[in-house]
Amino acid sequence: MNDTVPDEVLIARIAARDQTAMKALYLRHQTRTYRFLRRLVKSAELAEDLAGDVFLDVWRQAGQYEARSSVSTWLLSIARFKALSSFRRKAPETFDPETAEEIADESDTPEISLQKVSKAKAMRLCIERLSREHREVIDLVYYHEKKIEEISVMLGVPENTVKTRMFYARKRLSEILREAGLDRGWP
Amino acid sequence: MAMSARDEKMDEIELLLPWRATGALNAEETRRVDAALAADAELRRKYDLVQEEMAESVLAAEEFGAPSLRARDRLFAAIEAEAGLRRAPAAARSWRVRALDFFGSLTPGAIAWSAAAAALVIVLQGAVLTRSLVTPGGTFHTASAPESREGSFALVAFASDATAQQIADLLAAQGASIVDGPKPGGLYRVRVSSKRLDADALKAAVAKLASRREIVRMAVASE
Repeated sequence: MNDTVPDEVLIARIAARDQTAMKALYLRHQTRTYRFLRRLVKSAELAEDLAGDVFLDVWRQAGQYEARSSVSTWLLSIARFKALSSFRRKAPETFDPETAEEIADESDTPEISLQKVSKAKAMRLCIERLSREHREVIDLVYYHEKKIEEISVMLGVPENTVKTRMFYARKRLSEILREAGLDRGWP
Repeated sequence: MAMSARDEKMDEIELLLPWRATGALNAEETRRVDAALAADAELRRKYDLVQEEMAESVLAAEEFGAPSLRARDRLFAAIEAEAGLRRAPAAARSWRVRALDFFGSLTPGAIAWSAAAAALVIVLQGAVLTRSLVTPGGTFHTASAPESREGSFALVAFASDATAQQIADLLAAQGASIVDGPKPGGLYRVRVSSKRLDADALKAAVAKLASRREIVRMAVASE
């Protein structure tokens, strides 16, 4: 299928049960959706399963798409919901979204030593050590290139909160880098 | 310590730096940030850090690779299984399945390559899935079917931002149903009455539909 066919048209054709359109949409968005999930849930296997669930939802619910956001933002919103749901299933007794978002995730992350890795690699490892909330906003801004208003809708927070969350995510990243021996001179 | 007006302005600008780096600001915001960058060396240093973070974030995301072919195969096997259920023998197929097949078979040429067409197909899909839109007998008929000539009809174009639910509610409230479409121009043939209305009554029925401008873009009486 022609790469220039807009996402919205693919969604319309998927709503009409067009599997070719479904394949085109999947090829176009599978990698970004998977990487977003990978950033959130960390497990490659779980991210892959959740990405499959996202596109299966698209197949089943394409008729519900109302073009209030771009298709890519809609996909990431579904993916985010799937990831949060997986967290709840994982720890139904203890999961507290508010607390979980604040706690930096330091588990299964290798110790960072600048004597062993490059500056670029150190930064990548430090991103992994950010809280889920901070990793998410950094990923949405830098990799997915989402606008402030799009992130605001996705996360369900005011636009000013998006700006300050990004600021504090960056600030925390710099602090983690400094703790690892890489002082960027900010903040 | 109270922030000066200049500090507050700079803070706001600093918050926007990541979106300036990705080109996701509007023209006015871009102009403001660029002006501030031109005037402030310290802000430019911070912007360099932002650009460094952006580059490494992109590289970090790319290191995640892509989902496996196995994941793709699993997904499309599930989709095929669901689609297979819809392709039951013709005699056993419900009106819904036959309707889905009809719309699924529309060629790209039949679907206008525009966002408006996309919205209309979604609308029609929603309509098909809403049993209330189907003729009282519960069967779907194309314009060529004899039953579709019974009653009184209008050609209707729905608003591009109308939802399937809005259309379903409107048609249900007026006892109307979609019997064919989309035709060129995004028009649908809508049965406004199961009876043959006289000219005045048909005009009134069409006007009633057209009065819902948030849902109906255009409606005209049709043979």
